[in-house]
Amino acid sequence: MKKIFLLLVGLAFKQRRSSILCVLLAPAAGAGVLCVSAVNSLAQDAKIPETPENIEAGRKIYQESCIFCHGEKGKGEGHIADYLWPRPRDFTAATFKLRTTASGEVPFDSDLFQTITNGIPGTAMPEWGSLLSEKERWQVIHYIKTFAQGDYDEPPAKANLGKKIGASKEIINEGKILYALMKCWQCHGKEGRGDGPSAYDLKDEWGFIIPPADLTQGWKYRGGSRVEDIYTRFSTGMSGTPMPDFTDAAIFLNREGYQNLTPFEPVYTEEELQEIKTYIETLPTLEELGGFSEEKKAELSNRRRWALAHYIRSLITVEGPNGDVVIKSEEVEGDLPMDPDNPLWEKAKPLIVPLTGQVITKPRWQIPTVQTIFVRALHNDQEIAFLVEWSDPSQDTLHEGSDWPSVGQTSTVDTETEDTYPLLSRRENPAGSRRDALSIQFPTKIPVGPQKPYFFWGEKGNPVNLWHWKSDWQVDLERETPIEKFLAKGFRQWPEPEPPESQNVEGSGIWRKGQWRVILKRSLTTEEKEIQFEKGAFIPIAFQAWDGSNGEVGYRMSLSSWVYLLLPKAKSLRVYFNTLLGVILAVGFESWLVRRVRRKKN
Amino acid sequence: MKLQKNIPLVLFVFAVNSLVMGCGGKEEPSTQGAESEGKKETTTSEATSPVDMATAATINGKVLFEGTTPKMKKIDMAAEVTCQQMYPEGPRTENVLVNENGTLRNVFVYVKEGLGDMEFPTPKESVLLDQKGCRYYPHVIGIQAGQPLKIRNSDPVAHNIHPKPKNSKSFNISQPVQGMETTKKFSKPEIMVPVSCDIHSWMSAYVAVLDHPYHSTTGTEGTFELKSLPPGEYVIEAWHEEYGSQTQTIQVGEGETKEINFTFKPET
Repeated sequence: MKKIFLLLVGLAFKQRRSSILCVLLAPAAGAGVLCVSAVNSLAQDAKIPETPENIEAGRKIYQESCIFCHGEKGKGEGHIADYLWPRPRDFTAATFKLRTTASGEVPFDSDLFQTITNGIPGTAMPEWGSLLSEKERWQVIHYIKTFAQGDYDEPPAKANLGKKIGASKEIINEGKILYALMKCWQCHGKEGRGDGPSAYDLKDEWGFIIPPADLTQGWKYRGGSRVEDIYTRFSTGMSGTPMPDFTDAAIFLNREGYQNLTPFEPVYTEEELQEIKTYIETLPTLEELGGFSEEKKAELSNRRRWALAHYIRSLITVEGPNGDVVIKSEEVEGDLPMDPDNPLWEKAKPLIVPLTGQVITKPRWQIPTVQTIFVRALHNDQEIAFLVEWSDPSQDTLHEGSDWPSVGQTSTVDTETEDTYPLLSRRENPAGSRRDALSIQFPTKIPVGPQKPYFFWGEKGNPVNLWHWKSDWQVDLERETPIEKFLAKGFRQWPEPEPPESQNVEGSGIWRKGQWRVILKRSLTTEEKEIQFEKGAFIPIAFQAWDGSNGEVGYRMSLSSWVYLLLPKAKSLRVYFNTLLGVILAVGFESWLVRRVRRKKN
Repeated sequence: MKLQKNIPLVLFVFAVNSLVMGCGGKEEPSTQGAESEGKKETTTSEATSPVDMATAATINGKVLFEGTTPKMKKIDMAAEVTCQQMYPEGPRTENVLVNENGTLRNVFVYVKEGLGDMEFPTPKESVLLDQKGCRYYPHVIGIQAGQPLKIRNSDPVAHNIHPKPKNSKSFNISQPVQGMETTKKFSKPEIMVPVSCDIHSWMSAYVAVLDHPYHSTTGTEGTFELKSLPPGEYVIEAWHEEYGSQTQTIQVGEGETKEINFTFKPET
């Protein structure tokens, strides 16, 4: 069972590829036609008939491939459902996030086909497109629909999906204002990091905690991150979740509706509000709106939804983990920047490191906040600094108790602790009682060959160091550094702090608009028995993160596997020597030439 | 010259306009507001109604509360200042509202059984569910299956309307603009359809969907009235969100008016 679980989780972290079906059909459907709708019009109904034979074939496929998560009765209560988050879909409700049908409607068969084919990014649902034939996928759809028999009797109403409007600077700017006016920030946060004022209380229709999407992390958009996907999501809503349908709202924008801008004031600056007000002036009045034809209203709604989609697309800064595993440190002259806003950091390309919940030891943790971090490194001839950035909707800078939950019992870990994944509401877990934290993990020496310490806090005889940055130390002005160095000899015991004289990691971090940006710095070489940053070597490096207000402490954390740090070797001196020689010769020749010319003149 | 002559006319039109608009704007949503609309339904005087008005009966009465009035929990509305400002004494939940006269508010009273196969026309006029001060008005509302439910956002904040019906199709729509109205229907009877706003977790309303017009929600007086009933024997149910439901069986003759009372008490 564990193997299946790991396989599924592994699959889930694969990046979503664009739908082959879509690519194939789009040219056939002609220019200007939405890819999504093209698929719909051609394949709203299953390609193979809903016969008892096909349903039976679907049942067999379901029992081989789907039952572990979705359960025998389709209620989303399979054997490993409790270990997954988000939880597997309950098919008996016929409620699906990813549809091209109107809000509250069941999906088209083709919508289910898309989901099964492409999988759902950021969840355990893999891409079955490469695992099941097209026929098998249709068969399994016929079977899945039997779990909610009556619900599919009536054909669903199609969502109001209009003609695509291309990206332009102008439309993205309009989208930015619409993001404000449609109050997307209420849940998704002003910068889109899922840190809006209503972000913490959200539950799905089954009562499970559901945080709003971090819109900067496109590779985790459940329905895909193409602009068409984004457009479809708020044109249909995501059934079963708090995400509503915005089609009508996009029609209804009017001047009178925005007379009171008080709700915007805590979020938007004076300058931004001015921009918003200017836009409101361009909106129709209620009376004008009443006079618009249905056609005109549909056109308005469509344009605004595309504008919003293009803007949200623009919030995705990096495409996502791309298989790279090497942080390439860049060499700089002079002091290393300790301010994350310093433009020097631009010089270093960030590595995107995926993190998952810690599920190796109890208490396991399946709902971590920090699932992706961006890491950059810079070094000079003396030191190396890392800039680590991650989305965290809340800044938690208080910490009750000790570093690890039960330092009193450092030798063994309480294995009796409940082995479930409690779905905590952030409100139930008062923000501030636990800190935010980050660990950078290094082996104590550069490993010879492929033998690295165990990725989770090393092992006996093969320990690791943790550079543990703590948000409560960050705000404690009496501390010289917010970072404490630990030695870990395996996850079965808590890491132990290194003696004060060995504490040599400096750092600083700031939290702004749903994001932590933390810098950690150390000398390239030290006298300690710890990692020495040799140039040209691939140095294993791993990360762990905690979000205090999500109840994360101790083993409740997210962690990465090993990636590598590389400080490129300086180019050989000969290169510099030849260049220098060239320059000297050129200068010498020129001055000789100048002198000669002058002498001749004289 | 021409323009000057027209000024009084323009002014007049403007005045009439603003008068009309002013009235519309001032419409105070309250539990009463929807009750009045509710009353419209109960007078099923339409030609298609199967009820003979000459012999129609009425059942009315009160819903009483017995025991200590529970104190309602405070709602933390700090995130929505514009809503919070509307509650000088601080907003509290509305699960149990006991009136000054000892009656219980927001009890939904309706005919549960007794109408047999009678079919009633679906009213065309809509029932209003308003959102004001980050609350629903009314908190408990009754409609007929297929009858339009007009949902309005009177707040300058965003709401999403997310009912969770079991029998009818659900929906989840955004109303980010003040004054926005959306009309929706529930196709099948259901007691009760919970309505919530994901943005404001404290917001809650209940929509009762019936296949007939005989329902009434208790207001500040704690009374209810089921008018225009054909004579017969009925099971009347009173539903309250905290205290569950109670039923009483009652017989009404031609043109008769009978009074029944319900009493709810908190479990001790």
